[in-house]
Amino acid sequence: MAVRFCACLLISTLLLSACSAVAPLPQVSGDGMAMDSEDKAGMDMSGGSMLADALEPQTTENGLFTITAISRLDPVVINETHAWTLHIETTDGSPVSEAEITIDGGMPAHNHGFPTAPRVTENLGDGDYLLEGMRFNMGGVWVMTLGITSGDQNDVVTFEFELK
Amino acid sequence: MHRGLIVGVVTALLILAAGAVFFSFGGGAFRTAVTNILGVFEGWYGESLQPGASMAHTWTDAERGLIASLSIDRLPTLLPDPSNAVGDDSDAIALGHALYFDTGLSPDGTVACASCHKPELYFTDGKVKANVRGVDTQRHTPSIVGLAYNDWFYWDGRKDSQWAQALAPQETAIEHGGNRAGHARYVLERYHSQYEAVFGPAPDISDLSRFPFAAGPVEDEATHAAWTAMSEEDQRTINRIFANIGKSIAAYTRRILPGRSRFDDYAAAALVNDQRRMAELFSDEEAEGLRLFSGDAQCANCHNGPLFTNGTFHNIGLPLALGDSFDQGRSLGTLQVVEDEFNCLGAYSDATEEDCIELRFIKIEGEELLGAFKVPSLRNVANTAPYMHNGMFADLDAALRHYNAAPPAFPGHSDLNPLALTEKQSGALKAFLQTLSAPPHAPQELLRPPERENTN
Repeated sequence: MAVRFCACLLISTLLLSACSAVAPLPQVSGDGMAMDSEDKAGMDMSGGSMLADALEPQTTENGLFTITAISRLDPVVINETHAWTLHIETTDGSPVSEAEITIDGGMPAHNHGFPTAPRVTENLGDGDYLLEGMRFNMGGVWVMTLGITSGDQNDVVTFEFELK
Repeated sequence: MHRGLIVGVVTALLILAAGAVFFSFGGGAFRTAVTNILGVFEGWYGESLQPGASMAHTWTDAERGLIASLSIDRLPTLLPDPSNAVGDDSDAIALGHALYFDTGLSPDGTVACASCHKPELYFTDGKVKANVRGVDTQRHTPSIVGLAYNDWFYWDGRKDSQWAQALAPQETAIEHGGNRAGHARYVLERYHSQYEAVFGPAPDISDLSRFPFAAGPVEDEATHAAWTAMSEEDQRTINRIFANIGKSIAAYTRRILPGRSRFDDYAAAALVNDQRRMAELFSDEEAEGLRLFSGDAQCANCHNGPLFTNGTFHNIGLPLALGDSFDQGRSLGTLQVVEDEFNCLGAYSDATEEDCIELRFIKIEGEELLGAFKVPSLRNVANTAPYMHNGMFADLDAALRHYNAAPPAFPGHSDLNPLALTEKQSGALKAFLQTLSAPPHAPQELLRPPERENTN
């Protein structure tokens, strides 16, 4: 009985499906096109990217400074050398305007650093600094470590982010 | 017995009715899922020879985005090279076209750029290592197709523009074997009007006591001595003409761009999720190769973007070919390019300091530079064997075996991870790589030597 039931179900379904192929259900293709163009507009075709302001401001390891890092290239994409703006404040919100900044970073999972040697090239005032020469040559997880020296105070912060 | 038949038919009708309702009213994501399932089902009876054919062409949105990122449709318009003011000048292109094929740019009249970068071989030479007079150079001849998009030139990136690169082989003894004073004299005599049309009035270098026939900072001692005996001003005059020769050749080579391959059509179909078109363009094996390429085989980590290269340098733990000594690669190339008198920041460049962003932020230090070489484009890879900077792999199978095994590098560290691909998977990757071939995208007349009357 069960075998006959299954056989009938299968045969009936196939027959009816064949009918639907001859006379397709209405609006499928029209809706499909609409869906596709939505996808096309919203799809990331960069091979690895993130929004310029994707990184949350972060406090340095010993709590001395708060660092904001925003890319001047939006979105950040792979294989394009570009600049960032760094903003440095003390934790009570005062801009740190005479800081020395070192930068290092790379892809820990791949055991390599940045493909370029980025550095701070200009003090823009009010705690802002221009970081030039940034480049990412792969999608995936990157880290960027900034060493901050202001007067006799030193501290370090590491940002981790993914270009996907 | 009849009850079973009736229940079966009614159940089937209910299933189909439910499907119709979902199509009419279902939300976008759900409808997408149902469409995909029906697409697979359609594949079963539509292409019954290959059960599950459409599964090979079913991609997530993220996968379709990654595939699109590799498409030539994503290649941006070529921007001017700020270091070469005549890079897009039609007279410079014509002059460079002539110079590219002119064996007169070698003292024995046997070697031109085209001797190694042959248009009919996708601008490579098919040899293990570049070799024009029976003597091997250190490395394999890379293609020049699409190089205008690169920041660095040569396997080790020791040049930072196409025009600076074009100059170096001119003075290498085992390549063109010329010297800059000789080249300057030859070009000003043979191409005088064409040169002046591009660069303005040519300087007078007829005084042989100031401008010897043969002078340049080359291996040959007499030619080198003649160069050092010249005044700095006269050296600069020669250097300027020599740089202009390179800029003309680069104006020509900038035009040689990659063409549209079958993969690019597939990527366009993938972008709009047209599975029927995808199945027409790629076999299941090729699609499986693409899936591995952009996924588990990790190829797209470095071979990314529309040219299938991230334009930077990686050590992939290549074993030394028999008779070769260790090649430092990028760790030496960085030191050479910052010292190069023809670099972006040099006196013969047309760029401002601001323009030279790659050179200003070049990475000089780092263990990963040791034994690292430039990631080559994979466009036309199936047609440009042998492979690697030292040409050590005769075919794609050998190259894929290396990536699969990923031996450790010594010295330095390899950026590869062992893949443990099956033979079937390696075969799929190879099948995919063969979809990247297309004739160069360039005016047809630029793919052959210029007509004789254009060279005088």
